[in-house]
Amino acid sequence: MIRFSGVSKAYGSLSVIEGLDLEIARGEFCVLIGASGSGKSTVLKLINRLEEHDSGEIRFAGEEIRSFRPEVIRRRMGYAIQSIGLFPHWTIEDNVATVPRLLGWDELRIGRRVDELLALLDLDAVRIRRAYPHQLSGGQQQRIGVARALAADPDVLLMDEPFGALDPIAREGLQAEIARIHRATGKTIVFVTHDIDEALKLATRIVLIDKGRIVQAAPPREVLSAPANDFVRDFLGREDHGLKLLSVETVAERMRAGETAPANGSIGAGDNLRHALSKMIATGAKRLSVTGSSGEIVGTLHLSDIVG
Amino acid sequence: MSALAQPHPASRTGAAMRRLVVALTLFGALLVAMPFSRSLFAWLFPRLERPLYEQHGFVALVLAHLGLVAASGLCAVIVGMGAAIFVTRPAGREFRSLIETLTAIAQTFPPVAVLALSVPMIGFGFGPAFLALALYSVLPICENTISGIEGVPPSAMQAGEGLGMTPHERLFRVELPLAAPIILAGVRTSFSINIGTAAVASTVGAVSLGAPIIIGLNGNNTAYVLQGALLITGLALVVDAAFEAIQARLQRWNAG
Amino acid sequence: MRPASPVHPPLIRNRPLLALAVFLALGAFLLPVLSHAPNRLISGRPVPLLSLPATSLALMAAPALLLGAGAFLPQSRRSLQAVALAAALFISSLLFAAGAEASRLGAEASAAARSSLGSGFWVMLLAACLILADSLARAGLPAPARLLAGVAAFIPAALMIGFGHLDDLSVMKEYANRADVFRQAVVEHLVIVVGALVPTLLIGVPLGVLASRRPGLGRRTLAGLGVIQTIPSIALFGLLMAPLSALALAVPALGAAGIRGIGLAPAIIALTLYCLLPMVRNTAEGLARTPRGVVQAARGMGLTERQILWRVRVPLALPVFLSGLRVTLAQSIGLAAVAALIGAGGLGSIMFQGLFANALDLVLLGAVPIVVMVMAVDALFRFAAGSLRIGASDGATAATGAGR
Repeated sequence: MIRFSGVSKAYGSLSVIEGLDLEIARGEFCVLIGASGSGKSTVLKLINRLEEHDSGEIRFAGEEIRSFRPEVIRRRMGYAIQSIGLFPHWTIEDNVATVPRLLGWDELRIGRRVDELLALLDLDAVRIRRAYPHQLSGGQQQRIGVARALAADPDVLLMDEPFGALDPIAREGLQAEIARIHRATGKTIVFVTHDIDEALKLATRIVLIDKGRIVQAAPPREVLSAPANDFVRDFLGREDHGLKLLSVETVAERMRAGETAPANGSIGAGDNLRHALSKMIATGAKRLSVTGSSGEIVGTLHLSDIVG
Repeated sequence: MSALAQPHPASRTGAAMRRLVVALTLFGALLVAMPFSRSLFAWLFPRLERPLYEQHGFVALVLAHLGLVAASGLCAVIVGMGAAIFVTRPAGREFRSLIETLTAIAQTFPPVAVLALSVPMIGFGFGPAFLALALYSVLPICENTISGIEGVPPSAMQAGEGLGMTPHERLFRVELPLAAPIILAGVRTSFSINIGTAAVASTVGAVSLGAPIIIGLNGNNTAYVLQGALLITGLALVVDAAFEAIQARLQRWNAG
Repeated sequence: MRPASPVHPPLIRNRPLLALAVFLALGAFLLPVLSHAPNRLISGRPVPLLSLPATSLALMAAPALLLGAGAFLPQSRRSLQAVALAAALFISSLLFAAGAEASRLGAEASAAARSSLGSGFWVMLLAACLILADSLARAGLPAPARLLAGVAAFIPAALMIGFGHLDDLSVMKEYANRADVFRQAVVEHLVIVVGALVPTLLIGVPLGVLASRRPGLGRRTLAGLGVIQTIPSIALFGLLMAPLSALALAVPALGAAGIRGIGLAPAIIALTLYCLLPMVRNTAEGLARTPRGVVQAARGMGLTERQILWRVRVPLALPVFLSGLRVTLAQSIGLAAVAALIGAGGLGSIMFQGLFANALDLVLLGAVPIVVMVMAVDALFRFAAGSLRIGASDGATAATGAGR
């Protein structure tokens, strides 16, 4: 979908990206992560030409991005940022409809699309359509920001630390939402963050960037189990590395299937092992019944399955 | 806003002081040289019999002008700040909207109209000029004092309360010092307006630097007009530079 | 133990209203409502309010009593609206009584007799206007409705002037004597103001846009214009006089086109110089006000720079720009009065003529319309800005409870 080959970018004499090679496949949830100043946001902005690369080649759907006019390529990619940037003088409806209007959709189609998106992001369309941004909470505003980015059904969704300014509860809600949207729509998402837990939770692939270079690009579990070097280990946090590993594995992978004798507590098969361990510590149980999607017991998870 | 923000306060102090020194020097030189400039103005305006204004001494006019502005300004500071402090105390809170209404209405009056309308009330001379100037400058001072006090961070007020300050101490140690830059901006505005209005007040019989201009205009003597205009401009720039210097010093604490 | 006493509501419910009512009463009983002179050279004899006919007094007493009572009533929206209505009625009845008394006194005396408005009249008018404005503000009406109500309160006054009920007041006699001069002065005044507004817009808006793009240049421009603003108007007129008359002498064609040391040319140049500051500053501040994130998001969604300017920056800048225009216009209406001193004409020339000739009714005839013009411009722009305000209250409840 998007391919960087030998891309470099400098501001004056200060080089921010050096010889970057990266291919992002269709349907990937690619999380770019790094410390501030690492160049991760710049990589994102190169994709929709908010920044121009100095050398190398960036291809979108097989074509060099410079063969498009910047506006055209931007309208084919959704864009959501930390400061949200809703237009304060437009209603929520008008904000969400921004790109469809730019693309000249008819109003009937736009109205249907707005309803669809507000429902997708679990917002009450009736109450919120005619409201102005300043009447909404930060979490609600960012939901609108995401809805606006998705409005014209773009091929790619670019997100620049979109949940960075939200409180923990709103952030978790939106993380769950975006993960669900990714599963449901199969959109290609490029997501920038500096929060490793967010990256582990959302990514199908993590791209760790430092000083404008890729340090490691791999699925979350691989990053955790085989960190490329000490920098990656530091970034993952040495102290709770084990817990992080548990958080990327599901109960279903370690449970003893078919052992259906009820235990004192229970846990869903799709939950992660960190959650299961936390539950065991909190309740003092050494084993938990594992329940399937309809609540039936499908197996049992023992403490030794996690720690062993 | 951010794009048009003030330059860094530290450099602001130095620049303001330099500007004040330059303005003072030039104005002083102008004032000293003016009585000796007869031949210059005679050369500039060859058709005028009397090219130099001599009814009053220029220094006396400057002092009279400054005296009128300062006396009315001082009066306005006392009344305006007093009213603003009153309406921001619990006892006077209910008068606040009345004061705000009054300042809003009064600010639509052009200063010249205030001057003209005060003549029917008290006649000609220093009196109506003083009253008009004082009345008009109460408004920006009162308004700015209210918004300055309103702008004091609640945390600073709570800290003052928590440290055991009485309401009186909070007013003088927390509220007024923190509001001072905004109050001073109001005083600056009113002085700036008043220097001009004091000049126009020559038309109602007050003695000021407006006298050469009014007399010159009536007698077709462009030299008089120019002399008065130069001195008023100089005075206005000096006073403005002085306020800028004080404001810059006052705001050193938020140099951040 | 203290006996538990029922909580009495305080006797006085609105102290500002009471203070204003007392102020009004002092003006009514201690100061003359009119001043009557057999001719314009002799200073007048004071006419106290209580010497007016009983019908006039009764007409004024009814709303006045309601004003006083308003301070003791529970302060509801309805009672405040009633007080505002009473204030409006009082203003109308005061004007009506003054006009009727002037006619009555005029009928008894010679044609040269003059009845002018006295200090008591002005005090009562001021007090009633303040009560009107304050109770409208407290009644919690939205700003546009408040403005409309304030304007409506003066419709009877306008009708009285229109139908000649006030013709025997000396101000109106002065007006009748020089209606042509007055009308011409109003036109001249507007010519000066509009004459300065056009170049101000043509120069100020591009300069403001430029200043918002280049902050360094903007700061220097604003500093320069700030220096000009500190020069008093009369001095700036004076400073322009000598060079302009020299220019007219040197280039006779310019002189023939009206560029001279006195008159319209220096007035319009000086006013333009003054008006540039609010115009440039508010244009630049308005355009710079768009939050950075909003622009970034707009660009990221594929709005072109032109679309960002017209759909985002300009609508967001409009309220600030309009308030700059309001300040500009109000300022130049006032300054145009000073321009009469350099022969630019306008209402200021009537005002200064009155000042020089000690004819106070002429001063009023010049000054009052100036004040009314400024107030009209102010009200008009506030009304426009009020209807522009974003985030109208119709969606105020929408946020609560939406989402999760």
